[in-house]
Amino acid sequence: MTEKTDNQRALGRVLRSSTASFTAGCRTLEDDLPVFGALVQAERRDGAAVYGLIYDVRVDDDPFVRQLIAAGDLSEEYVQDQRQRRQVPVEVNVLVVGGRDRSGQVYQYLPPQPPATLSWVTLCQPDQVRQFGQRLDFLRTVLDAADAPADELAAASLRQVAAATGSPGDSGPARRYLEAAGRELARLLSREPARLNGILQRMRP
Amino acid sequence: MLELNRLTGQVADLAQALAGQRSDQRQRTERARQQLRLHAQVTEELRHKIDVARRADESWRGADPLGDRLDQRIQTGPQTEPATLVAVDGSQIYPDTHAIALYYLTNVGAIVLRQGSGAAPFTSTAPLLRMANDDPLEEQDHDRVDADEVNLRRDLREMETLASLARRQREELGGDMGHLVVALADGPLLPWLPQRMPDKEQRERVRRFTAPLEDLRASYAAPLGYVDRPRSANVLRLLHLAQLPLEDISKERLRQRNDYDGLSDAALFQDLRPGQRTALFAATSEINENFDGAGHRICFCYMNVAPEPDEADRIVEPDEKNAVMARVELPVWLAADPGRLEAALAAVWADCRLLHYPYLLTRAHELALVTRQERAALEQMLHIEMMRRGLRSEESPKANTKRTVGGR
Repeated sequence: MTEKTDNQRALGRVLRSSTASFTAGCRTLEDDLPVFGALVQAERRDGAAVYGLIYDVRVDDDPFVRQLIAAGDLSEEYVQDQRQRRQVPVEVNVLVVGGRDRSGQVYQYLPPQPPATLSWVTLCQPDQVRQFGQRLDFLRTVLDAADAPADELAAASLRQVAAATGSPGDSGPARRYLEAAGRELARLLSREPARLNGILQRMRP
Repeated sequence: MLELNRLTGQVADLAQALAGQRSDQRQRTERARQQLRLHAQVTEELRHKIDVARRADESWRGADPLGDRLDQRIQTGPQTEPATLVAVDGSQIYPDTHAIALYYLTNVGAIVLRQGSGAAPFTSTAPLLRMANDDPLEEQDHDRVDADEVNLRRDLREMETLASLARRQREELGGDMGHLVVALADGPLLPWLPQRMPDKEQRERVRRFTAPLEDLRASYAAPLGYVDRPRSANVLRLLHLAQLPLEDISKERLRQRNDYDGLSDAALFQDLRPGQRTALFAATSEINENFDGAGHRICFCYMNVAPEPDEADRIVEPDEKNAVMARVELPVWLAADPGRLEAALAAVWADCRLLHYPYLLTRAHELALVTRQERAALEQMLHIEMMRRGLRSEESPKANTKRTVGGR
């Protein structure tokens, strides 16, 4: 990750935002590229935050990078220069699924305000993921998302919450969580059995 | 608007003319190469001719050979030791009487790369905003800063930044003089001073431009000015001089049209193999004499910076069409240290491998560049600050309308 704030792993900062989604810009670091489906938060100074799920990560190229790739072997200094020093950030698109108010209360509906430009965007810690995943209201927002690969995102986010809940096993808390999520999905997608089946297949850890 | 359909015939004619010119230039370049072989030895007579030519025509821009052969070719070896490369480039916004205020800006981009460290290079930019007329913040007063003056101030800032970064690198190396620090500038090391500049001012300029070179010498850095696709013809003028009988050397004869007009030294030496360079020369000019007086006479050579062909391609001789010619300028004190010079050239050649141009200069340029959007944002900031002070700030109607119709 590029920087750290309050012991949390910072992805980057908000580039642009709207009520339903925002885009964070971050510098590339090979091992720490943001993960599809991860729960992140855009923080406010007053302790409130907007929660969202990563649904797209873009590493844009430019003619310079293309030329370097065509040139073949690159020394490590050149690679690090391109990754860390050039103003070609990795763009991380985030679907807003809820937030946290100043009192620390987590909610799963669209926040009253989008995150401000240059707000820190950090990866949520496992306990935050668990706390957020206790309710499943966010699934409707995900399934209705027009710009995101909704089914893949729903499955990936549920796998993530399950992993934060406990180790996988036939009767463990992760398993129980996925079963509960499956039932909620069945309710939401009662008229779309094929779609439901597709998501359930992808939820397997 | 450009009516492209009305240009089709002219484009074809131009291409035809270029093809004819290229063929003519190839033949004349070949003749020049024959003459180079004939006059390759630097004789006492040639040195005498150079002196006579310089006296006959002060503005004769020939080449003064440092060695005893004009056709010498020196193969740069592969780089053996990692070096620290420092590179700078500059950009500017010229004063524009149609803009919201008469200002200019220079921006210097710099990059420092330590080969073998595996670490990201250090990068920086340093913008400087100034009024374009009598500027109380500047040391010197000038009635008006024009584009030439902005160029000179930018070039000076580039050299000062280069010297400062090289000095810092040497300090960070704990003064280890065994580690090579190459200081790479974009373009010639000799500034271009307008003819109209009075002697006193020219002396002052030379003092200011040679100060960073003095600093670089003290830091034991290797400064190189890199000129891509050089158009200069100093060696060809020397060749023309070599062919003139001594008694015929006069201002008129030196300026007369000759077989080498329109050719370049780069074409003359385009048959250099990858990594090969020419002998060293010094440009004959008044400014270089002044630099010489300060101990920093500027020399140059031409070099083919194309990468060495891969093993698989070595059976085929490198074609001169694939040569990538650069003119490399350096102070005479670096020329007097052949080991360090060759190591510096090897480091620059290695840095050219990816792009056929120094990677570091590409990055320094990118760092220095002021985009149109950035300029617009800067003028917006300036506009707000001027309004706060009750100043009227508007573009001229001409600039405004040009932007309106040009924005399509």
